[in-house]
Amino acid sequence: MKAMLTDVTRCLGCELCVEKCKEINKLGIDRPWKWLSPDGLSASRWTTVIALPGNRYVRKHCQHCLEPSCVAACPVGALRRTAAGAIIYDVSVCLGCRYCMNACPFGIPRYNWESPQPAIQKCHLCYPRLLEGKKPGCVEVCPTEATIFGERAELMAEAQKRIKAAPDRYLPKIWGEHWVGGTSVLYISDIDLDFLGWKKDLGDYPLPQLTWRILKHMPLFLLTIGGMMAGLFWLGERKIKVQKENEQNLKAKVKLKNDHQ
Amino acid sequence: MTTNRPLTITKNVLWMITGCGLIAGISRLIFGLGATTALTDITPWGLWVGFDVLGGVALAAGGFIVSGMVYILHLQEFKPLLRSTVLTAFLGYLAVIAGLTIDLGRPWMIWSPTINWQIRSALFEVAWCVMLYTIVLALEFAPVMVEKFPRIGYFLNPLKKITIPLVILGIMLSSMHQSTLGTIFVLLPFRVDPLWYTPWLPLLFFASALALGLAMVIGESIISGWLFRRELEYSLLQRVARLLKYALIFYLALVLANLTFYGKLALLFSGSGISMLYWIEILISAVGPIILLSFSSVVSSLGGLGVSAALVAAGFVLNRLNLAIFSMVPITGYSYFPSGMEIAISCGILAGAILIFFFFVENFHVYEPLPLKESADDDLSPPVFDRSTEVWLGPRLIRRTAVHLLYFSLGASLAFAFLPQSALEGALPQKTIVSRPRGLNPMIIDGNRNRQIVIFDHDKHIREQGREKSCLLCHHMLKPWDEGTSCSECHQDMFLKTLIFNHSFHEKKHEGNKGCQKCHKENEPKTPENTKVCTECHTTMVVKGSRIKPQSKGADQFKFAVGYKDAMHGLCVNCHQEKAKEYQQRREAGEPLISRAGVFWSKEEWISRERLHFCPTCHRRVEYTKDPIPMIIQPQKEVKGDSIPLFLTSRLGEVKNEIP
Repeated sequence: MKAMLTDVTRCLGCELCVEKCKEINKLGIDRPWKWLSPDGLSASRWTTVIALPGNRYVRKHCQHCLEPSCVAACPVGALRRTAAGAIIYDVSVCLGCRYCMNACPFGIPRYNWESPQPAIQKCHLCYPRLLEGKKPGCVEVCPTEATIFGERAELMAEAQKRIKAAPDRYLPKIWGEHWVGGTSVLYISDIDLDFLGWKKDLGDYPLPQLTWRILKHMPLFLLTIGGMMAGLFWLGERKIKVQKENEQNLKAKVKLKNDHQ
Repeated sequence: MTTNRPLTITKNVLWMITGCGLIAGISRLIFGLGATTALTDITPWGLWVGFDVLGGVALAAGGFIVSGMVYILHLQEFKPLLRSTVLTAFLGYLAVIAGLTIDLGRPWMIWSPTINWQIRSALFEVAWCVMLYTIVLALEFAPVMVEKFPRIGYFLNPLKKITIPLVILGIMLSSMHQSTLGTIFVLLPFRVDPLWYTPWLPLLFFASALALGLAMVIGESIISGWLFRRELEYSLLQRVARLLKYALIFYLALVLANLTFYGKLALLFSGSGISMLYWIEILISAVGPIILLSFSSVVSSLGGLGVSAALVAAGFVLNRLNLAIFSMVPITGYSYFPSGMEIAISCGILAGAILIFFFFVENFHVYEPLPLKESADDDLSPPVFDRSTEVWLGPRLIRRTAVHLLYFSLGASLAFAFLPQSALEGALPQKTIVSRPRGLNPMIIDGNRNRQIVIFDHDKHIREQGREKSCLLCHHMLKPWDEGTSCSECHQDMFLKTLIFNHSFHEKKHEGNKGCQKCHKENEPKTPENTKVCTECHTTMVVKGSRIKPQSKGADQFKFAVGYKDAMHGLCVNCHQEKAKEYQQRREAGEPLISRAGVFWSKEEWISRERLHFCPTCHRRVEYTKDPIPMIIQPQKEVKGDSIPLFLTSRLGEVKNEIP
């Protein structure tokens, strides 16, 4: 499983990654639309660099969760997690419900609202390049190797090594290790990166489990309702039938009585 | 004249709203969501999801409840209400599909869930339920249509035979569908306000759908009774009202149990705007109606029943709106208010559905033939003449259709007149608000589009940024449809060129006016061209081999220190790349990987930010030491308490001391 490790202390904020991403994915120029969000991420900017006080620059892009809630949200499987760890998007089946935009705990998927044929826009870890055996574009151009690419386990080891080697330089935490069940995009940093999430404390629980533990009972629920309704119907029918029979019996009895008299 | 005035007026208004909605809808389908809605990347769901989809499904709940009572529980006395509620549910679902068509970004792919299965998605289940249940409802209602046309009467028997399985299937699908709509929001624990968010949402949705369905039966009977002048099934409605009361008590108990179980009762009393909304919702939807329906005088009066039903319906629609909009928007920290076109389309869909309902009631056997209050059948009355012009206005039916069409086109043209520019041309990027004070150069502009007005010296910007060449710096920088690049694009401090020449300091040093000629040429205008260059006096200002290049020519050339971004793209990045190359070359050539001071460096250290992002690297020769790592030098400005991370402030003192 591939992953990406960003060392915030090494980032210059030069935005060469943004430039390369735009070039590879043919994203075009940024325009001042009214629906943009302040973090700079947009349909034409799949990765962005957030400048923070104290010369700190933090890259923001799709976290490629191990248990992605956007994939669990998508009703048609337009979003899919590949074996390599990249979450990729297939526009040809997408119906544009935008549930993924709401479901993402990092608020990553963006929409090109201006288009009459809109599509979800987000980082796909340069999946076509991965298939060719190349690294993602942003990793390739990074002049300080602030972002590196490799196997997730190896990068975790590398991150731990760096933190251990310079404990006063880093905060003792790897962002992405457990975040909402773990992500393929890891960060080590000397500043708190919780602002990348939609809420300060996202927790370690994978979100797709929240709905799946309800949805997996739905077939049973459906059958129970169906069975109950069929049972009630049968009971009602039988009640009417018995009533009729009783009435007939009563009539017959009355008739018999009358005849007798 | 025995015209049914309330009905005619209602219909005219509805036709007008439908016309409005149609125009807005067409514009939405042609120009896309961005041009017509107020939705953003932060609030991707709005009125259409909250009102048309969630509200529509909830309001259609009457269908499965009444058909269940009649066919499954054999409560034959409710049969008079059956056809109208099934019709309402059917139209409700058609409205939901219409709402979805408008709301989906790619409505032509609406069939996609039929082929592309994703059983782990709640929305997938909802999609299938909407689809199947709409078909079921159509089949349940089909006999009403078939019996009108004796020629296709052979369909009638098979349709009637499958009624019971259809009804059971309908109840199954509805139950699943109503509850799964709640499950959709269970996936959004960070988006939904904690007051509304609970894993019990599917249960709450189902319980509220039961109550709402019953309320709809009451409301609908009363309204159509008034419009079509029918006698009402009073005793029936009172029984439904009793059921409604129990359903509401059940719902309220669930709500309270949920709040207690998850320890959220305290949130109710937080006094925030959101908690007020929750109070209003609970009071309108459950508490109020329960109290009202406990009085026998309310239950036995038409007005009382109507008010209770209206409260329940309004309360639960508010509940859906609360969940989809009010609980999800404030939490983002940004606002969303639906655009006029969103509102027009929502109302248009609702009005269209009601008109179709009227059409079926008037032309098909929807209601049991109960005694009419008075003859409303005035379509067969003699033709009408306009007395003043003696023009024959045709039979009443045609005349009325013409009037409806008139209102329809009136609504459409009204909508057309009020369409915003974007709805006629497609989405347009925002423009900068610029206004020029009369006769003055400094403009007042909202440079960053944050509603903060600043005085902007246009001439000065032209002068300092290179005259003719300067236009494209602001007016054509990356954003072609923008009138001007926002100020922050250049004026973050990292992008600012720094003025390093201090004129008054030099003036003082050279004894005021006596010293002018030391720099400026005598008897000539004091322009940069007639002035000495800094390096003529300060010979050591630029060291040999410095990477810093002068920004401009003439006397101005050392006036500005290079801006951060220029430095970055012109110097920093190149330097890191050069060093990486040097490292690679040395390694391949087998040369030692050591610094000038003779210390071994790893690759990280060759290209590290600390080594190269250090002023003396370019400005003068320094001997590098491996430890301690030279820190980034802060620009000399006021250091505010929180703006610099602890990590830096703690070491800032050390760093300053290290630099001679």
